Amino acid sequence: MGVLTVVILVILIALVFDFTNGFHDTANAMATSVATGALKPRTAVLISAVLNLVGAFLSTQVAKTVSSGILNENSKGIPHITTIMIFAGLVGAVLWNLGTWWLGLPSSSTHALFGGLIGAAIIGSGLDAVNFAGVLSKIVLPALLSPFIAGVVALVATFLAYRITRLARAHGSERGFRHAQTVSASLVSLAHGTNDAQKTMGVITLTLIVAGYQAANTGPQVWVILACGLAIGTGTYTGGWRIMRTVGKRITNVESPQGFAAETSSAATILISSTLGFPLSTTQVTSGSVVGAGLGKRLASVHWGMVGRIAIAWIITLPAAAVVGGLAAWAASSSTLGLILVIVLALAGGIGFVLLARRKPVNRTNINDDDQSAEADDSSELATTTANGR
Amino acid sequence: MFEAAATPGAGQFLGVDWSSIALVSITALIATVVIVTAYSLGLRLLAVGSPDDVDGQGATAASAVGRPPIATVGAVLCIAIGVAGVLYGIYLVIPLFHS
Repeated sequence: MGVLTVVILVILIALVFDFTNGFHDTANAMATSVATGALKPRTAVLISAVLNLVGAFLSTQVAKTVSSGILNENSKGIPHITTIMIFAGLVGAVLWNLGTWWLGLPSSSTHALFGGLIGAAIIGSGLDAVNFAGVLSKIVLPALLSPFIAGVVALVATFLAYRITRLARAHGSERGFRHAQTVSASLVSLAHGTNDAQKTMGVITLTLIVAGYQAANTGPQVWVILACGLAIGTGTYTGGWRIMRTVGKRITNVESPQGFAAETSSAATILISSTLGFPLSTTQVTSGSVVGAGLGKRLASVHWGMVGRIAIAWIITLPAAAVVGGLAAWAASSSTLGLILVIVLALAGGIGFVLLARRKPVNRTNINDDDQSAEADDSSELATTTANGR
Repeated sequence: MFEAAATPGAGQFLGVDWSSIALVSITALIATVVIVTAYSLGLRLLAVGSPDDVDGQGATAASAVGRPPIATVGAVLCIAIGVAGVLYGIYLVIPLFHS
């Protein structure tokens, strides 16, 4: 199969990945705003989509170094990876993203991407292709630490927000918190756009470099930036309502002071960590903030069963995507037939998850509703809070 | 040979730059606490003198109208701190401003 055909395949699936990244991560910025009613669901995803698109154009620094420190490079600065392996890695990442979306779990798209690429690189080029020390220090440990950092910050912030306004809550402070929450959530969206859209740009640029269409150590081309920005923007606008419901309603029932505290903590943690050169994952930071905001009001109001499920999903994201990416790399690099088989299976898997999700749809109209399938304790608690209303 | 150069916390425990993590945590905590406290105080001050303000004179003197000017000034200052935080955040996000 010709090089150009494979490159086009990679670009297509990279944009599909970018799209899933968008709708997976809408929840990070907007779930709490939708849950507290600060923004109408459609407005929330529109703001988030526009800011993601804007963010994609603001900076391309991450795109140049997407795989450095994770995959070992040769003397020309090119990792030991082929276009077929990148394709296989993206298959793993997309399937994992769709699977966790179906389950409504906010897992990190970045981990899925790197997991897929790592698995494919190991199968294709051997263990030497991966810098395991880099994986540990740049991916695994930050992921373990960031929810705790953001959680503690949000806990303190929530406690203070309630304490300071406790006697004046009836007079406009709810509305004040909702306005502020919208602002900090928008900041999270913008930061997300500058980070995540660039990862796909980096992958496409890496592919073009590996295939010899672009010189090594050069930045993404304009059409790549535009395509990635649009893909993540439309993905965001489509809205991962399943995940939004989990983050906004199922971890803890977020109220406006909590939403404000959580989003401010997330924005501060994400911005400060990337400024100081130690970027933390948006997904882990925002989920940690929501848990912290739940704890800051009342210790008992966090649904630990859901937190446990999310934590398990985080732990297995990287290895699971790696296994799928590795299998896909093994099949796709064997023969043209194997590559076609991978394409067919990936399409079947992707469509399968979408169809499964259709059977019990979550969309902007029912995102804040009670749901029969929720765990028993969740649904009773949600029912009471919904009945009490505002 | 490239590993050493590409790993930021080389030589440290588990290869992680622990001092960076501590710095990030503390800075994030301080920034968030300052902004959340300031903004909440602002909202609190805006509520001074309103009929719902059981903490202040509002409840005892229901006829009291409006809030004292000093509370308004304080509220504006507090909310300005929040606005400044947001502007600084936007500054940080856009590399054009500082690179």
